[in-house]
Amino acid sequence: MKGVLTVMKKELRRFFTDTRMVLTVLLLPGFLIYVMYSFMGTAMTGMFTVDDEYRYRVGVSEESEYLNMFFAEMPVDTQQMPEAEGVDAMLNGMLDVYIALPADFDGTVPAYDVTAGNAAPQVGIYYNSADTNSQSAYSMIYTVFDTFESSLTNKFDINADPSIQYDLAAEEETSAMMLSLLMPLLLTMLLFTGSMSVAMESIAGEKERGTMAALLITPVKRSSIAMGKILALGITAFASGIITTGFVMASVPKLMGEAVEITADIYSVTDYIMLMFVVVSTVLLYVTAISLLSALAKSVKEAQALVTPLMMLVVFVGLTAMFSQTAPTEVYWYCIPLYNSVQSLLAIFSAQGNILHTAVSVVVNLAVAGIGILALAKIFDNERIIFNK
Amino acid sequence: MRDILIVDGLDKSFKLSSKQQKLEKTKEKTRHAVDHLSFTAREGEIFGLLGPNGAGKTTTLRMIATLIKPDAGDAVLDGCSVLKDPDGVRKKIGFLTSELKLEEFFTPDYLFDFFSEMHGVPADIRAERKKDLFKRFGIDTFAQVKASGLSTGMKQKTSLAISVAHDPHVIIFDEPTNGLDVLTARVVTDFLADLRREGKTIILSTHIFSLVEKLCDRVGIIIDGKMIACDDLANVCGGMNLEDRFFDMYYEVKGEQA
Repeated sequence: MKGVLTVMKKELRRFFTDTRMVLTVLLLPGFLIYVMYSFMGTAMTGMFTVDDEYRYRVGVSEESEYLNMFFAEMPVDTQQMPEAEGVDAMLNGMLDVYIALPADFDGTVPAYDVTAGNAAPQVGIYYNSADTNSQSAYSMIYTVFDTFESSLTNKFDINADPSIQYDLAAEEETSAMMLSLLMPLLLTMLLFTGSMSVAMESIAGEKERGTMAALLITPVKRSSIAMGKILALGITAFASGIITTGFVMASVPKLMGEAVEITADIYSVTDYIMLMFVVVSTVLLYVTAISLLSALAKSVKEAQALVTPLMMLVVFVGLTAMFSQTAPTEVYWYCIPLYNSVQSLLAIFSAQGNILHTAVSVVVNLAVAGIGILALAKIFDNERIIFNK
Repeated sequence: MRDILIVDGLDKSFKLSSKQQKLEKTKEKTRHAVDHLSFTAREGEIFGLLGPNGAGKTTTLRMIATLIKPDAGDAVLDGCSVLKDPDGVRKKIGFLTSELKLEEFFTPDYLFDFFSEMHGVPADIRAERKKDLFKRFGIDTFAQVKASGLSTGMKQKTSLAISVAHDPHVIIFDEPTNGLDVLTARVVTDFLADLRREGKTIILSTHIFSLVEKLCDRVGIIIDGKMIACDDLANVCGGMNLEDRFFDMYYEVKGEQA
């Protein structure tokens, strides 16, 4: 047991006192995601918003008092032209919107009797959905006409009282939905890449540089060396995963723009505890699996080649959370390593975490990691693998 | 003096890869590296394994140090069998070979502490031994420099100090002076002589005749994995100098095969 601690301390010292390692493994991935998401968020918001100073160019088929009244308060410049000419101007990009009004709009529309059974007068609004300015002008003008139309035939209003919040789904559920869509995949990927960089370095790297044999010549048991390494790698990978996740959480609102409020207040203390157990057990599983593959490899480079298929599998399993959107309810699904972590994360981020499912996942992960540590000790004892040059 | 190491019929073969077969122009699938090798080393002596490159010296030492397992035979070191009690053997030995590297990221100071701890050396004894050994090898001047910044000689001195950090009773050195400049090589040979004076047993392998003549009490000559002669240095030489005697034996063995 003393050996486990000694090996662990050495490994932790190796990672946490190495500035380059701390920067590249712990801080850089999260920071890059933050920068990337902020940039993407800004770019996307910019793409779908219209400059505040912009005045919409609107063509109309005839003069209308009603229209003048509507547009008085809006950033709109109107000009009158026949329909064919208006459509032409639209196609040439000279207008944002063209409104074809029925003849004598101001007279016929108020006079139209809904009960008479005649066809209602038609208002045509030409627009270009591919153009942000046109699309934005269209929705504004559509709303104006729609409101005007309902005020003419008003029998009742729906949700018209602005002092009452009718949407009870509210921020919490939107947040849960957004986070459950993003976080399981992101978190599994980030934890895996964090585990990858440290475990390959510590196992395949030591083997490649010939420092592993120096450990094996000491009286400390192979299983203690394996355990010490896995625990230290687990702590490092966990730190990397958590720091990176922090950056992701901070950057998600930026990615979504201001339209969606993301808040983490929706999760209970139990949710956070479950999350921690799932993340820790998952990291240990990842680190053990990567360490095993690294121990079989002759060099860090070869380890990379061996670990890549596993990474693809992890990403694929992570994607299942995005597609299924709800976690399975049968317990046996949580006995499958890798899949169980992703589904548990999905449930927790959907604010539907289940203690039994989480516990099964954690126990399964820890058991598999334990078997992996024993296997790693066996490999350390296998001269053909350890001294394979 | 009692026999502290009894090597009894150690045998080891390696599989040759197709690349190695081509390189060495052979069709053999396996290489018989060590061929039923037996010898004993007595407490307090320096025992030398002498042989050309590829004779099986390193493989023999690795089997004794429990880094690899023999296909047949056994070696018993101070009562511990390498087969039945490898952990016990590892507790008693210090092992040094150029293939055991220092982790580049750490300082000699830290590495000494780490390996002492791995061997279960108490902190106060550790500090005292560190002071003595570092002073003796002049490591104290670069004790806080990362191994990546050390010269080959400095690294070798550090490895030497670390290999005896736990004050082992038996010390196994594979080619102790290989690749060292004359000054460092001298430090190493002096240290070996001092260890013998302290009553330690040293098993070393080498292909340098002068080293054997200068240091070893007894010598075993290995050619092609077989022990050709094993006795007191004077008896092996039989009045000739070691180099001439060795080549007589070598051509005798090789001539028989041809």
